[in-house]
Amino acid sequence: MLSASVYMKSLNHHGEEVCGDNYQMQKTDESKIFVLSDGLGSGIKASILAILTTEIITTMFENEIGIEDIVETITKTLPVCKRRGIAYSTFTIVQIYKNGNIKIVNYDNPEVVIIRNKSIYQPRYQESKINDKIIKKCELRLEKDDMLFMLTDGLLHAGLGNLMDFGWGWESIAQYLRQIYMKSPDLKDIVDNLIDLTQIYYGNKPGDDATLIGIKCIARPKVMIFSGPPLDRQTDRFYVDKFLNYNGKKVLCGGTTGNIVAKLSGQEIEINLDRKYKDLPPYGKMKNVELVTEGVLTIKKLNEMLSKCNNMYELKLETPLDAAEKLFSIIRDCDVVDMLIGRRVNVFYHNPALPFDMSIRSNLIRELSEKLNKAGKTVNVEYC
Amino acid sequence: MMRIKICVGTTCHLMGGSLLADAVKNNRLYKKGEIKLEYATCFGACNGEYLSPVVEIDNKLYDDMNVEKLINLMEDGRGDIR
Repeated sequence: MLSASVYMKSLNHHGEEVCGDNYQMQKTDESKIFVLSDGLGSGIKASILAILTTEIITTMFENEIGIEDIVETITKTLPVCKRRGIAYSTFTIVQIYKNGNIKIVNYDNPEVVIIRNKSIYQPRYQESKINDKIIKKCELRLEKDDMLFMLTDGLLHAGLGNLMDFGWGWESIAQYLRQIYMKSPDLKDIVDNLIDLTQIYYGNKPGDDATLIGIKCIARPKVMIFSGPPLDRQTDRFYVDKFLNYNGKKVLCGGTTGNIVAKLSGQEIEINLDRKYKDLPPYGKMKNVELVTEGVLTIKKLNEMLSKCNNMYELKLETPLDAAEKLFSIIRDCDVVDMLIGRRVNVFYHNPALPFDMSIRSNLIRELSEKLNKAGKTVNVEYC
Repeated sequence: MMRIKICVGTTCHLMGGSLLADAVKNNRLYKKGEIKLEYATCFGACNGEYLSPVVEIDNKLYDDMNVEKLINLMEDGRGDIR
């Protein structure tokens, strides 16, 4: 199963408080749709038009109306500027299905940049005329680690009449994105880098709204976090099997939980001595388990990290990562977070000499699931 | 060769486990390769009978450890051996 994570950044036209580009994402059971719209001009008028466009498209999509019908409605609805004779807002729609199919629909925005196997992939678009508007469409199969970039023309025109005669151009942007990708395939790094450079090309005074949206396609977008030993010891085997047979990434949070899984599966937990070991205990791994960490302290720090950001890509992670940062980066790439939470009381926490009162696990988990929901993840919690 | 396992569970960590790991890593015998250091998940020992932090040395558990006791044990086995 394939899915996508997304990170975006915009520049406002110089002197404007709002951006005339708008982006929305909508999920259904079978697919995700990303919509980017660029309102004509800049400021409030452009912003309202762009929001109107993305809103119409995502609402219709939510009501399971096909992309073709959506495009037809939009092209009929969009007002044409009397003076300039052009449509008020342009748009790009990218629809990614769980089975790996992808549909791109583009109306007057720059083409989507696709990086596949370290090179630029240019699909063949079919042009069709809907209500006198030329709509470009293409369908392709996604591959693991593909990256897609949706952009508005504000990026293409960076440097126009300033550093360059005709602006940066699509080709140069695509090549530059590929170059940054080769250095660091981190979505946030790539998007931030290009937007920073655009700002510089504009001499810190952008002549147009500019938006870049990075979409990274990932395989196996599910993670299961098993934390805390099950209440009834006799059910240990059942839950360990459930955890180990999970079809996705697996994370163990908690020493005792780790020991139970290790014992029942006959595997050993390996904790690397070189790991960062300061605020949090070091983390390890086990066969078929991506990450083994300590429990409550790690989840507590993870909650603190989530409090600092709306989009998980906003947070810059410095290597070497500690246990919470590693867990954060795993969750960031996943759509669905399944949690298996044990309710057995941990007698070790009844030590009066501990330096602070440790929150009970269920409070931390409640907080964590609220924060992950807010970050756009689907969270399922099962207490055992 | 002496084999030391330091617990990296929650309570042992809070009670100074990382200091113990640093003490071993800075010890001359460790640097000479005469001590093997490992991290371990919870030994399940500090439930009243043992006090954290707990360290296992050559398959024997030692509790209520501090840097001084650990150095003594590493150098000549003069810790408060339980």
